[in-house]
Amino acid sequence: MRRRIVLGLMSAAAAVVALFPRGPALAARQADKDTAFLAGMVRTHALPRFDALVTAATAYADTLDRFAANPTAAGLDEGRSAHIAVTDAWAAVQHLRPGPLTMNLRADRISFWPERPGVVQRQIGQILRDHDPKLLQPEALARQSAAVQGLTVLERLLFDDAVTVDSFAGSDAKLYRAKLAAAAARNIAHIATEARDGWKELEGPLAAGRETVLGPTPTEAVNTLFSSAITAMQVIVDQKLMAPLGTSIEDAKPLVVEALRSRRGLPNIAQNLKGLRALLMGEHGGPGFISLLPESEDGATAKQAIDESFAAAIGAIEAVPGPLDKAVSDPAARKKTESALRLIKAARVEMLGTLAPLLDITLGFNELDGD
Amino acid sequence: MASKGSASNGSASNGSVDRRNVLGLAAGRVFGSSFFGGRFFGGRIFGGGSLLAVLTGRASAAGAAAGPIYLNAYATAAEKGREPGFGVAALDGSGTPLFTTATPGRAHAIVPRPGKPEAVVFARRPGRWFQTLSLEDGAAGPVVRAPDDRRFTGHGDYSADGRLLYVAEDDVPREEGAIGIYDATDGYRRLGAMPTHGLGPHELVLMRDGTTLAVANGGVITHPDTGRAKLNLDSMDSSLTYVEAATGKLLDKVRLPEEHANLGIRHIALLDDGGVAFGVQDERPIGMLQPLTGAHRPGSGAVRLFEAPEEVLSRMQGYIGSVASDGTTVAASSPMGGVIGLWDAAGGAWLGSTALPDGCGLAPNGEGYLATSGLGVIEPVSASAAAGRERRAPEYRWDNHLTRWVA
Repeated sequence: MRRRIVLGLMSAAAAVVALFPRGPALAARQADKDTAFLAGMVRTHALPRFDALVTAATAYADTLDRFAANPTAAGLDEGRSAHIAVTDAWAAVQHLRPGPLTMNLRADRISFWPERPGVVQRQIGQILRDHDPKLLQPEALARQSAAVQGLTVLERLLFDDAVTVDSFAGSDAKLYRAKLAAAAARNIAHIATEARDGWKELEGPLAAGRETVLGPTPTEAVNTLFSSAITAMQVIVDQKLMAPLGTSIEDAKPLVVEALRSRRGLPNIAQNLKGLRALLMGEHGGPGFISLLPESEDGATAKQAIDESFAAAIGAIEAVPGPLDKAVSDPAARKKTESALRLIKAARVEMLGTLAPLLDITLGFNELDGD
Repeated sequence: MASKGSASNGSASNGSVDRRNVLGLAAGRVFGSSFFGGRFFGGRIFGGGSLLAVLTGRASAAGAAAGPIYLNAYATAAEKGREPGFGVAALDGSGTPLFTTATPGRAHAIVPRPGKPEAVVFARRPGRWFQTLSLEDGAAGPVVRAPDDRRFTGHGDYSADGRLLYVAEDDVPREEGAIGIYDATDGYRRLGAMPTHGLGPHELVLMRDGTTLAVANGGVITHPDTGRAKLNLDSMDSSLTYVEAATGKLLDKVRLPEEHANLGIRHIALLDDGGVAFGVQDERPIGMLQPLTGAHRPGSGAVRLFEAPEEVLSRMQGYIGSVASDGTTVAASSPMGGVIGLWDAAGGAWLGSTALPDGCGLAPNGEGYLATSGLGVIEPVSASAAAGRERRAPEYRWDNHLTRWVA
């Protein structure tokens, strides 16, 4: 089998960017501007963010190695803080799905969510009962079910109810819990490094306007990234907020929130939105999608609309009193969650209705996710 | 905005009429209430392609149309600040709309009922309903809701005599594929269910023998609490199963070769040899070019995989959205790649491809295929993959599947 390009959009409800035969274009994009955006985006947005994930995951693994060698209450606290740092760093790259993160189920292996009811718990329970030392060998976890490879298993090992330092010491089985946690953190560091290296390898070809995993031309690569940003917004709306909210307070489903046990559901959404805003607006002096806007009044209006709608959405989600699993069932906090949801949807509408036409991107309709 | 009067009320002078061009022709939308002897029609009926026909009240409903009609689910084009509307449209062979029927939500596949001018339309997965409609005028029939512990997957088929409807569904608590059985002669009363003998079913078709149901089990588990999220990508298990309709007995089951275990079989079409053609979707990319179509006949052993040029497979991005066959050739669409490929069914030989951005809907039209796209295009494609003259209906985004019906 010959290698093929993987665009990595096959997740969640999504819109497709189609190459639409041009009518009188509002603003025909130029390939050289697309190339400059792509190369700049990798350098100032993707790579720093993946570097941060590698750093956080490595620190987490080191912390848990020390903890496994000498479990203390302070060590457990350090481990939990390191876990939260990795979760934050992960949420900051979750929107960069096409390409390296899609290969070899990397995203699912870093964080297997949403979960299949009951199954993750069962798999982890089995591993803890068996405490097979072979699973702790380098690369061994990487061949297991995605559910037991990364943040999903670590959430349970470190944050499950009733977990204390005593859960990690006093017997071989308990010590295994600490070693398994360290192995999972090390596995995340490996996966994150592979993904980071994947982006590093993209920088040159993108700067040269060559075919890459993001698309055969710079224009299509830009469209792929835009489409995946829309998908990321849809995941926030559908899976991270609407699923736990349910149709009413009686129908709320607190157990489906992301990062349930570490209680990072709301901060993750804020991180996701900040990542998306940075992709659109640019960061660290690099270009965002707005660098592709025409230098017209419409272009300036669109830039302002994106900036303001994301600021409002981020402000609203940060104003929800956490954790999210409690907020969806509490009348006052639920109201704030719903208002944040509306503002996030509004930001998505600005991306689709204001930004996309000015970027000359037509969003298709037919699905990417298995229909 | 329904106009209550006769067809002439639907003239261009009536403010309630949408005056945008329909396929380039100034056909007004006419809502039949007193239009046909005072009977209420759930469907909107279009003029027969010309303003004159609307003015003179000679709008041709499907019943009057000569030749086959084509059915496709649609969403109305998104406009800022307005939610899209969903429904089913009937088109004639040239792509001219005959009528539309609104649906409770986004629809997926449409299947005509043998022996009657009636069709069933299934909700897009995770589906909570199906609905029937008249193929004479688009009048909407009852909406049937899924049992609480079931979700329809978007496809199904009738028994050969049109008395029973088989609906592909997920048995949610058991995480198994199932086939819901409904009595079409008794208001679509649910009679029971039988297993698909596979995981995550999607398309289901009654085979030419009239007694066997072929089921494409995509192999992926979803759950109502988490919508369309895929919950077992690392352990997906796709298969093609053949189920005896009368008993639920498994007659044959095949999987793709192990090296293609990341591909899910989701769509099937009947072939003249008594087997089915299928199209797959890559659920867990491994970064390799892999075959995306193939065929299988029950009892014949392993599946046959079809070859395609590498640049086409690359373009298709591991995603086939719809498969159709005229019995001897196979057409498969990749909306992600904006390309439709054709193969010879018997030998699997590559016949060619044509570009159609966001194109997905496919049905045989006697001279090849008719194809529809999410950007509102309707286009014939010959059996040698030459594209014919396209028509545009920009207010419609055609959803995944096109169905042909001959009265």
